[in-house]
Amino acid sequence: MNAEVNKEFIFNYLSGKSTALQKQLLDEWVKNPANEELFYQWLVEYEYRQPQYLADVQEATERFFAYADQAGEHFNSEPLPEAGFPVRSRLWSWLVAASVAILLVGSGALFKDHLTYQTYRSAYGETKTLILSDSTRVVLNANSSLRVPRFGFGSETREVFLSGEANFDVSHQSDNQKFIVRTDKEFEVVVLGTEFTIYARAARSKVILNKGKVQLNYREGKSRKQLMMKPGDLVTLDSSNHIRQEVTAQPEQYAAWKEHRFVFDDTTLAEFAEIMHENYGIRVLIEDKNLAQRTLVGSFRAESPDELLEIICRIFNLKMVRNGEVVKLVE
Amino acid sequence: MKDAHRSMYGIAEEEKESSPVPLPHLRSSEPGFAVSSDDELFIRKTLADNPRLGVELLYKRYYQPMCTHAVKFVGSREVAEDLVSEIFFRFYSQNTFLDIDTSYRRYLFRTVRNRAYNYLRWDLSRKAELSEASQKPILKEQQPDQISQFEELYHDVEEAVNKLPVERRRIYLMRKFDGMKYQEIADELHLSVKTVDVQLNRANQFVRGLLKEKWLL
Repeated sequence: MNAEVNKEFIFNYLSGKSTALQKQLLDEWVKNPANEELFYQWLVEYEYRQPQYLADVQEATERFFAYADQAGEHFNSEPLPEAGFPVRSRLWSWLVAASVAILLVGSGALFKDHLTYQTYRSAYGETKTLILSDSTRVVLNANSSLRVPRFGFGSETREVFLSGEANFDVSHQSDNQKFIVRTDKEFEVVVLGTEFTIYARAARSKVILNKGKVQLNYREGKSRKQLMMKPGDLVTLDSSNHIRQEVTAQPEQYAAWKEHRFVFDDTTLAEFAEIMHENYGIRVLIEDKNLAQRTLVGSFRAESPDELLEIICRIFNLKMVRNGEVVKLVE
Repeated sequence: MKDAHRSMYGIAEEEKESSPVPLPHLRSSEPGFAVSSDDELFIRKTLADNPRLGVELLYKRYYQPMCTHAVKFVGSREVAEDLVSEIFFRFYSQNTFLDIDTSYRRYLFRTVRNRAYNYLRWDLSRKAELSEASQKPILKEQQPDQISQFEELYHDVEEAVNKLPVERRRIYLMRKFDGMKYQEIADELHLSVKTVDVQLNRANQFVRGLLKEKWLL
């Protein structure tokens, strides 16, 4: 017998496609403890991929601990009797009624999402580098999240969901498979091997292309629109998806945050305040309207939001009044 | 709630990254499934420091696949969920996790397969005709000698259910899998309760008949 027991073999076996001979081979193979571990690992994966139904894990967990904590005082004092069947009657049924109210809060959608996607989040002030399974490199800027499908990513499609800001260096696949970045702003970017930055924050969205070619699909009003971008293109979408296209000589400066550099190009202090909030969760208040409209030009390196604030204050000769996460800038 | 969810799948999610280093577990071919045998390391450490939290992590990670696995044997999601919760309860309350030197996954899935296997056999025997039952010894918990017997059993269950006429199968699944009441099924399908009852009896007899011969020796 020289057939190889691998994941495909096990998946076939679990779905009932094995012959008697293959079953026998498996029975031998699994006697090796390392193989047995592999078997259970693949079994879990198989059950995640081909669920019979989706259990409500959140609700079940709450119910479980409600029971376990309540029974906790008996722990270790008296061993539980060896459980015989049936199981239904004793432990769990009384809890059903008690937990209905909690269950209805609706973790269903959330959970389903959780099951299907792996979510990567960066905290305020933190950048995160991810290498996806297709070797695409993603750098998440602060306070951003990327959802990647757990199953099927790279097999038929490559689709990810971004909220916040990220720089993508997309790997090129031999079958020219598309890579799609979706956002919740009713626009998406379709790419072939390329590097670009997407910014999809509350107020507006931006796509900056460094290399390669991308197609931007977006919705303006009721119509679906498309736009092809070339390297150096900078496209800005405002909150109603009105589009503005321009060419920038330094597309890389829009991903300067990757190196803790901050590039400002006629950025108003009001916009700066917004950036501080999006990236660091710090509220910067500028009450003086004239001051808020003054603009910043230049590139700064700063390791922390405090350092950046200090630089800005020095440039404009401002005073910082700090109160926790709220910083007031005054002349 | 979200934070608890986030901790469910991997170690890397738990560790704050200070510098941009690629997350190691992302290199495996499917997102979300680490190939490393150390994928439970974080849970193992947590169990040592804070058993309740460790059990919660394990529960969130394996409850879904354990239930969906067990239900293939026992047919009812309610029973499947109870079996799984009981296993976790023992695991937690009797500190079983302290004695496990293989992966928790292996322990939990071996246990759930054994329990589900025995439940199904008990269920089959329980419903045997009275005259038959008196002649048979009471089933003891037992573990098959070969791992393939598990798959063979639930594949037989699947096959038996699949052989039911379509309408009868539908009623059978509503009752067995969803745990619906006779009246609810009757209302939904616009049938009389009596019809539901007759259909269910025939379905049960048929499924049991197919399974008993092979599995109740």
